[in-house]
Amino acid sequence: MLNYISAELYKLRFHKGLYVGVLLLILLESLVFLPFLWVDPDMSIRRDVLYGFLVAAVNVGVFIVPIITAMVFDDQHGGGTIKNEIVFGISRGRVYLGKLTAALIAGTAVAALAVGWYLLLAFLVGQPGEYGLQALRTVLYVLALHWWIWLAVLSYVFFLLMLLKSSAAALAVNYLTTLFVTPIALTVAGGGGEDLKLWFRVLMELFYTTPIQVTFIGGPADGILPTLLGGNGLLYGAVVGLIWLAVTTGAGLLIFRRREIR
Amino acid sequence: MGKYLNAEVYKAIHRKTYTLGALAVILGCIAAFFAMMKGLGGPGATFGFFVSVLCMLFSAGLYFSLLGCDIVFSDQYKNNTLKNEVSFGLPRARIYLGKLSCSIILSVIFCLVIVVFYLALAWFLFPVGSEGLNGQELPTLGRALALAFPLWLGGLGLFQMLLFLMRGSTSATVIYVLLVSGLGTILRLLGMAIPRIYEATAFLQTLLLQTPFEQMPMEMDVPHAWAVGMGWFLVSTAVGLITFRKREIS
Repeated sequence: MLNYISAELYKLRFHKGLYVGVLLLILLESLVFLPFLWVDPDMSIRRDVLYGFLVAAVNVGVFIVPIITAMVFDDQHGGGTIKNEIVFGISRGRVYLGKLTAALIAGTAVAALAVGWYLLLAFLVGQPGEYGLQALRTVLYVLALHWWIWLAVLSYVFFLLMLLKSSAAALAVNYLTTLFVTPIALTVAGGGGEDLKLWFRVLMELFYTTPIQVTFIGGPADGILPTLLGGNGLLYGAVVGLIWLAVTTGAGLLIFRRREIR
Repeated sequence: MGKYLNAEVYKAIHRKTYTLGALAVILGCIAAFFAMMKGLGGPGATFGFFVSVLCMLFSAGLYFSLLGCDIVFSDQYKNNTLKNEVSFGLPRARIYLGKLSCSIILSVIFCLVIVVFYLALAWFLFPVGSEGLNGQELPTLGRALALAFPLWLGGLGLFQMLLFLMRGSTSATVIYVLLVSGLGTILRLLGMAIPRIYEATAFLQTLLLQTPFEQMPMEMDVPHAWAVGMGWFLVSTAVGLITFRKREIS
């Protein structure tokens, strides 16, 4: 398995699109610092404010993760590379789990690079502020929570890519799921559904974007599930992320094992 | 052209697992949504409310464009079927416009089936409301449809161009998503970062396919939506056609 994952990661090193995507992401982040570096060097901003921008902007990760996942998967059905692997005799479980793990490692590396670059620029450009350390702690907490959400999205998109055999269809279904379900889930979990049935409220609290909203930054989390988990927002995010990982991987493995690969 | 279009529609409809499967899943999701809402009840769950919800969901049509084009194009570079069509001697303009027309026809049929199914379920399952329809819901729905239609066409034209330009559908999809949902954010960031170009970025934002949807329901400028949607549709089709005519299909 380790050999398989390392081979998958080796292949990714030659993926030009991934480098272009990461470069674009880093350039976009750098735009935030443009006024302080180029437009007006006399302008100053505190580091804690810059960290606050990151806390607000990190929500877009839910829309970036599917793109990174599609780039990592790179149309393996169309390219016929999965067929070659199956014909070679590699077990289907290893193929699925190996590719998923490689995508997870690559995705985490891309996220670490993007966040690391932003924090470095914030440290270099920003002025020391009264709440600098506290803000940094909040950033790390929010990032740790979002990592679980990204894990859920990545495993869901990976499942869709395997199932639908088309990047366009997989990304469309993922974005439609996020766009349709998030407003309902956030309304219900945000306290707008106290009269609703218990199963529905729990279901909405298990949707992958819900922990972003109901978890008060650095503070206790409200809702049925977060309360059961002792009000620990990070634990709540981890439970939601792991449930999505387990369910989508289980379903993906089941389908992938039975399907004819042409 | 008529025969080519006929053949494309025939092929698309006979890709049952994809075309009919996608439609069945969408209709199933709508039915499940209404079954859930019926179970949950509440005084606000009226026909008028669900009409308003439908209008708000129209922006998702830009992502349905991905399905509409993908069903027709179906990775033809990878499967070498595009090469076959060109080698057979069919004019490239016919191939390009035929596939685009087929995507439009399929998408319109999809759209009609989905909207009619949604409205029928809302009508049969939920009361009109204690005060009845206030006379605004259906005209609003009509205006929202008139606003959304050219923007969906723009999305179809853009994605079709990208599918013909790129060799892989993954890169085409990624670029489409970035253009449709990421470009607005980039322009907003640029405008905030460089105050001198703020007005230029604000103007460019009005040219994006997503912008009229973002202004709903406060503002529904239908002529503006037609100008933007048809602009994207015509420019992307012209660029796609010119590039496809000069390209070597290997």
